[in-house]
Amino acid sequence: MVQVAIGYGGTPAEQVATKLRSYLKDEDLEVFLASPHSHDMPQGASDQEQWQLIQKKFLECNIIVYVCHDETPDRSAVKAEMTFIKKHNLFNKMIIFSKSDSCIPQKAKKIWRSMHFAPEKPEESFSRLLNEIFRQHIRLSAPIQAAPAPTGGA
Amino acid sequence: MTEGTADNEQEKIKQAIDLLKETYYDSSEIAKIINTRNAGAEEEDFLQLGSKFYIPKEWFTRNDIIYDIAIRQFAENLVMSETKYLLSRVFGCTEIQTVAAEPDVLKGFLKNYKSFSERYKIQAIFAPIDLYVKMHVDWPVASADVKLDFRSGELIVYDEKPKFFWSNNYTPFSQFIFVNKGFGQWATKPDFDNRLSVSITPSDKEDKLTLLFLTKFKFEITNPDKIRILSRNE
Repeated sequence: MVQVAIGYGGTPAEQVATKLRSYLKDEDLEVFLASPHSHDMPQGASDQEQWQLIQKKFLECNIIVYVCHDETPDRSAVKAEMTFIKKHNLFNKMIIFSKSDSCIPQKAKKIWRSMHFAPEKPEESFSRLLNEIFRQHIRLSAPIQAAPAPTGGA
Repeated sequence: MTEGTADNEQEKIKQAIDLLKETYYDSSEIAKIINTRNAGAEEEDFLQLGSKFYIPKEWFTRNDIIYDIAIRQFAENLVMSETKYLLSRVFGCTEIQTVAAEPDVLKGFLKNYKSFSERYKIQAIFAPIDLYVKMHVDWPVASADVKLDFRSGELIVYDEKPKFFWSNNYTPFSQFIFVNKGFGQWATKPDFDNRLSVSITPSDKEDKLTLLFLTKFKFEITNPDKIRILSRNE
């Protein structure tokens, strides 16, 4: 089963992320919403446990979807999460799902795979995002196989 | 649509080649896991990891197309494949000692860490992701020999900070592997810093170019004593 971890930046993005969680679950994906208010967090988990669980899910999952709504997200967690994603080289399995191009830092536009949604109706873009999740998952699931190299030459 | 000039097209092709190489060299984990060496020109019996793809010519003729993400993806896939290949050989090597699990995972981990590190410095540990939270939250509480560096988020074991590689859904495994890089050699041609060759050339299709990227290597487990697998019962 494809496992998706959802992060988000900015308060309005949490609403989109929560709707997206339900949608992907209905599509039979295993989903983890990286939010202190998420049903996916164990009850009574300390801040540290929550943060370690988010790290674990980001490392483990098939695809990370990061929802962005504001140009300047107000969660300090965003910085920590993005630092973690960068440190562990997880950009190749991340899809930014953003309100507009302006949500994405200029220098990240060439690095982050992104899709946009209409702020008034983000649900309309969920099926496109789902297709992209599967496309990306298929790419990542096909490792290159080692083969004998032809003799000679460098 | 905006068209580029022929010079511009060649420059963009060069940039794509450089980007693929840069992404690969920045991301490859091989040198953190195993000793590397430059192979002699006369050496034979090498393996190769790489792929050949058709890519759209318009990536380089149009100025409104950014191909960076796709190019990076090729490099990242190669990096992941390298690590997967190395692990498959390690798990398939019967000369590597596999230690049976203990009911108390922390106790077994520390016992094996200590006995292994008394002989060889542990430079890397492959660890199962399902223990990630337990190892970062519970183990530092349960044992003074495991600490969490809150600034870097890294685990400290017996005052050492080995590089951890965690399993994931694309590279699954359930064991611990303690690694001293001297367990083997990863020999490359022509030399380690130039082990990836990349070319973008005309293809038999009018609207496509051929991207070929390839790394030739020879992986030998020369000292299986310097690597240990700790299995688990769960």
